[in-house]
Amino acid sequence: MALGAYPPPGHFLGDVGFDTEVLSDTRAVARTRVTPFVSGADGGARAGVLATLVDVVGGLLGVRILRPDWMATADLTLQLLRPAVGPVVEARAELVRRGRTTMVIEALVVNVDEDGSDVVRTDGEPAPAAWSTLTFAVLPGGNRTATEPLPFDLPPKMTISGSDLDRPLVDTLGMTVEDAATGRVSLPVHPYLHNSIEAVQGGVMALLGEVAAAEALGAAAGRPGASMVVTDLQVTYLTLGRLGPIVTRTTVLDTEEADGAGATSGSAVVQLIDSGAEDRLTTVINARGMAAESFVADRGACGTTVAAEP
Amino acid sequence: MSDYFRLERWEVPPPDGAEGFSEFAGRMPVDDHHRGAGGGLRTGALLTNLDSVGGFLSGLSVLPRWIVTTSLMVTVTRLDHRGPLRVRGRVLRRGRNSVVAGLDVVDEGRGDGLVAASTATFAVLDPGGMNLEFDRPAVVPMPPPTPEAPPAEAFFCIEPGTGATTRLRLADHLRNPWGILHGGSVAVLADVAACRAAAALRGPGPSPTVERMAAADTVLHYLRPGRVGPVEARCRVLGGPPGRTLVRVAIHDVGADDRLVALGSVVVLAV
Repeated sequence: MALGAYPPPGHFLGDVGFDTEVLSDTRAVARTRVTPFVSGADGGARAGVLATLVDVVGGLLGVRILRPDWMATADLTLQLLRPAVGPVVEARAELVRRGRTTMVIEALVVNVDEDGSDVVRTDGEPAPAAWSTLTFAVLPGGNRTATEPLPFDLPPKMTISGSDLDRPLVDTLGMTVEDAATGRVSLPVHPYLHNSIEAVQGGVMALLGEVAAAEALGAAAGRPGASMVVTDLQVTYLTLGRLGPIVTRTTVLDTEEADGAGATSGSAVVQLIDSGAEDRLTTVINARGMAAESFVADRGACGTTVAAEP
Repeated sequence: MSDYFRLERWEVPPPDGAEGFSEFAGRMPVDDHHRGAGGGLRTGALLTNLDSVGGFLSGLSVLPRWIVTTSLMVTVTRLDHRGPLRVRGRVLRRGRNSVVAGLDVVDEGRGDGLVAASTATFAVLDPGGMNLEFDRPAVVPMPPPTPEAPPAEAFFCIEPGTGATTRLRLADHLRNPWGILHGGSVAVLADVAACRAAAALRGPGPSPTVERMAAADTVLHYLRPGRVGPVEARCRVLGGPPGRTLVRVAIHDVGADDRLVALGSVVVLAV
């Protein structure tokens, strides 16, 4: 258990497994293990899985900051900087601003070793795996769908655990690629993937969009979607996905060739439609992806970090 | 500001009898003073125009209240525009406290090829004494060309410099009707600052000069109004896949207790 009765037993968050820790009133971290079942073509955790990780840590931090109010994710951006190969990935979240109606959080995702120390580059410098921002809409009056009240004293450390995954997460969630060329992917809605207000969890929506974008960009490049890595997600949540199936409509914006080897990168817009709710548009995702071999290429040119802020 | 960007805008009401909100369109020339390293409209200028079209569109959907921008997200597919560029915006969601708009940009000079897709979010607020009377459907014609218009750095009062910090002087012409720093000014500052920071990156090979750096995909969260100035963009180069450098940009109002005005990221390409 984490926050009151959420997530319940038999929930995907437990099967993926997260450890969370609140460090202060404005900072928290969450960790998850990188396994083949949450990984993509680059060998690292998929962007949609990292989106789930930052949504978890952002939600954890937000609950503490906002209570007795509750919140829903309004937008989420995530940009992969290098493969998130772990062996553990840690999202370090910090409050940016708490307003009357919204709250903004940023998170840096880093690869960490089993002992919790940062995995460093070959030159000894730390190397973040991803950067993310989240905006939450404040829901006054608390979580009206909760079956249990939120405990007054939330422990600073929590573990969300369940059965380990025994197959890829996208399969466990029930995602089905109906047409790769048009990036049409379908997701049934069931309690296994609910968020705390009984709609599809925001990270799952991001993962659905990621899969759809990879399929469409792969098809445009004449290669399998599973060989593509979605590196950038700009997710805007419009309404909750409650009924399902949630189906995607994908438009490839561009593809770019590299070294005459065919299209190896591109971008797409994915619309997530709740087909059980009169085809209501629930989420819009702008995504960018590239061939896995391009993404895992040497990053020597990244050089020394230039920073005006820590 | 509008004379500098020469953005033409017009409302596209729903068809007769149809429910829903008006769409909105805009058209902008690629004037020489807006060209970036990619050859076309620099992304900061593109974001300014997206903010203008999206803001007008969203504002009309909540009358008699009005809006203020809270976030802009854009995916840029090409930088070598011929122009003019045409924007089409629509309301994706209108809630009690916010409006979300979706905006697409095509290059008329390249057969209406798509050059950017954007999502923008606006907070709904009481307009106070702001004049919100418009002839409907609303039309804002394109201003005539400005002879010898200054480059972006000069117009936006961005101080010369290199490295991770770039500073803007908050001149009156950079304020919006609320009297605060215009969202487009923030976008241009983020563009210039990120390119300078990426150019300062010390890699193993020869470093590209800032003249070869172009801002592309951008995320901006507008957090608080910039009122006093100077306004400083502080950058952190985070790295990224080959050919794409992600720069985190934090924008502070130095004269207002250094408070954080905006936070975002800019992908910088070496072109």
